[in-house]
Amino acid sequence: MVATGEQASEDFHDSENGELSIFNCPVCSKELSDLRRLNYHLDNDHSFGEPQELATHPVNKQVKGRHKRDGFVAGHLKAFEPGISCCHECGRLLRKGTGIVNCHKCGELFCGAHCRNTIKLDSHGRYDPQKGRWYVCCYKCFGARPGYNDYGSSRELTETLKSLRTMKNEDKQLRIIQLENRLVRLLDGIIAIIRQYKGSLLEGFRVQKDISKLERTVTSWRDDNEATHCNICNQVFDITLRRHHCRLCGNIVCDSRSTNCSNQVPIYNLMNAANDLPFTEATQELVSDNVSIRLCSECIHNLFFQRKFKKEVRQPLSPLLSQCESISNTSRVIIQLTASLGDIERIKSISQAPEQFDVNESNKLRAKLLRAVASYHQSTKQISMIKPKNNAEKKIQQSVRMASSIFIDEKVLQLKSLPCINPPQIYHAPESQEVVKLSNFLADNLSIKEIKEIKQFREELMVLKEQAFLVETMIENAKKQRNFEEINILNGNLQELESRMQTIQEYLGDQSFA
Amino acid sequence: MNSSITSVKLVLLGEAAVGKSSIVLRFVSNDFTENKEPTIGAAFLTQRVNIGDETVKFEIWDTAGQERFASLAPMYYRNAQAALVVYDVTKPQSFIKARHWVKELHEQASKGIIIALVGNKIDVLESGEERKVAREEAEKLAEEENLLYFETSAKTGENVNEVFLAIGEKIPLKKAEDQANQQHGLRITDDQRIDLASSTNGPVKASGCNC
Repeated sequence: MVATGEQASEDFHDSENGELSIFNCPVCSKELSDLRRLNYHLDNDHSFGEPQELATHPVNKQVKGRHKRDGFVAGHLKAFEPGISCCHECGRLLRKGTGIVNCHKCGELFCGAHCRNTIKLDSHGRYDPQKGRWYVCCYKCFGARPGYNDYGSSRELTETLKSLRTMKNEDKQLRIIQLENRLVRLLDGIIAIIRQYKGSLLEGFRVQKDISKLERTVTSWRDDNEATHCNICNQVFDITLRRHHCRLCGNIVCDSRSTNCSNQVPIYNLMNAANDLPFTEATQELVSDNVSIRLCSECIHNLFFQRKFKKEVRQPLSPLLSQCESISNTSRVIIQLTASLGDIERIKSISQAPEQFDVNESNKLRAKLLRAVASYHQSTKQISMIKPKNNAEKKIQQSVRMASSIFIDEKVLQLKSLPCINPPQIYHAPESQEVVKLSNFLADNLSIKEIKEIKQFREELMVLKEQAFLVETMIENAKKQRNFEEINILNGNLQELESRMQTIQEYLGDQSFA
Repeated sequence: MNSSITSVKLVLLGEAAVGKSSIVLRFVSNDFTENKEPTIGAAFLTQRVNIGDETVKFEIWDTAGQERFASLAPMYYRNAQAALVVYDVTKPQSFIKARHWVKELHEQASKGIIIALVGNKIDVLESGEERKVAREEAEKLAEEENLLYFETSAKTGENVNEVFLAIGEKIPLKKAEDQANQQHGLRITDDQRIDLASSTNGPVKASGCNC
């Protein structure tokens, strides 16, 4: 195998033409006649660089032209063997006509069509995007180079975001806890003071005085001189817009009616709204006392937004929506059960002698499924009984009815089509029960054929409705154009459509959605 | 104008995307649109044609070819005097469907219905596409079932008017035979015409304003 390229032989020439000098190996001090041999010695005996074969007589041997390129080490390139080498990609036998190209990265041989990319490589065929030269490579190597993909680069920042988010949330949570503690202390203190002076002559005076003393101890108030603007809405304070301190955070805010930066909130309301906090004093006796404290809107938001949200979430849904929810839950159960039942039945039908366990299991599932279907049916019935409050509810109701009846049709068909190879003598009892239940649920004792027919009629009804609507539009247009003959014809058609719809609806009776 | 206007209820049937609506559009407004939207339900158009000294007014019901509208078709062909069964000369499937329609028409539609079998899209044959439904095959079907047969191109307009003219020419004969017991396609007699002098005219009242 020819190893070193032209460069090497040139070096050799140079050293021959130039001064003859002796090189000593820096490792073992061996004397070597020229630089090239020293390099080779270092590479091979001291394993610097990649081991490579030395051409026995590089001077005399003309290097084959295919891979020669300045300094490129072609050692890993596969040699072309006529009649044997095939394209690594398409497997075609390589001939002159197909083109014979080595991928300079992986060294495999390719036909001209499958080695068209170029890549920057260093002299040893390694990817080097900065100092490398352009070499031909195959698409695989082109695509496999680091930092390359077909859809741009992506950076995983989820973890960073997560940590930032948790940090921020923790900060917020801490702040809320701090505020809650202050609130508890303040309110407990206020109630204690009120109780202390209850009935005393000086009540009004002392209570006010003690409370304002207490307020100062809960949090340090910011200095009035610090603030020329309200810290929330940024309005400048003046003689009409006075400074106020929030009793929980000590911040200086205005009490402008328009921005609602701070408010006097009755403590009774505060305690009720945050009744999950561990107040030591009972709230009942405060109903009559009308003590308020000033809170800024930020503290109110921090303290009560989440509570309000939770409270609203806890509020019961309207009967229609809660019924919808229960339907969707039941339908999930039904889907799940049918799937698992189908699996079991398939297994049974494959194995000749079904195991007792499988048989039992499938019967259990069947019973469960029927119960689910029955409760589904019950729910849909209830839905249709609810009186809709507004138009939206009416629409929801109709859609639910339609969707649920389609759903039930499908599921029951599926259930009936499931292979059932239970030996009847064993399962007689549960199965007869099943049949009864099935017919119960369908209420009208519909057979599969009838269900299909109903489905078909429903579809036809829908198409008819659509068409009637179209014809009505056409009539409107014809009226605008004063095209009375057309109106007559269209009216005739509309009547036909309507009578057909009527017939279908009469046939369907309860089963239609109209 | 001649006092006798014959109105003909005509229905178009055929598989989806064979060019039913395009044929009608070409006939009614001498227009053509590439990539037309599929018809929904059934569209209604009218067009008058003079044949000799007669005026024939076509009331065209252009039905949707999609399967989900199949249930509408009977309503429109039931009282029709003429039907166009359209297929696409490059789609054998559409010819099979056309056969079905012809059969259904003979079974369900009124007895004297005039059916024209129309192979559409012959313009694409010139642009190199292969014909998949042989002319002979269609002609044979037409002869067996006693149909008019045309090959048309709604795009170029070739033969489109001829189809309707041929139907129009066939109509008066029939009209003479059993005019009396035909509900539709009547001559519009004088008492059915709108009399503007009379105040008791239904449609005018219905569509007029309240003042």
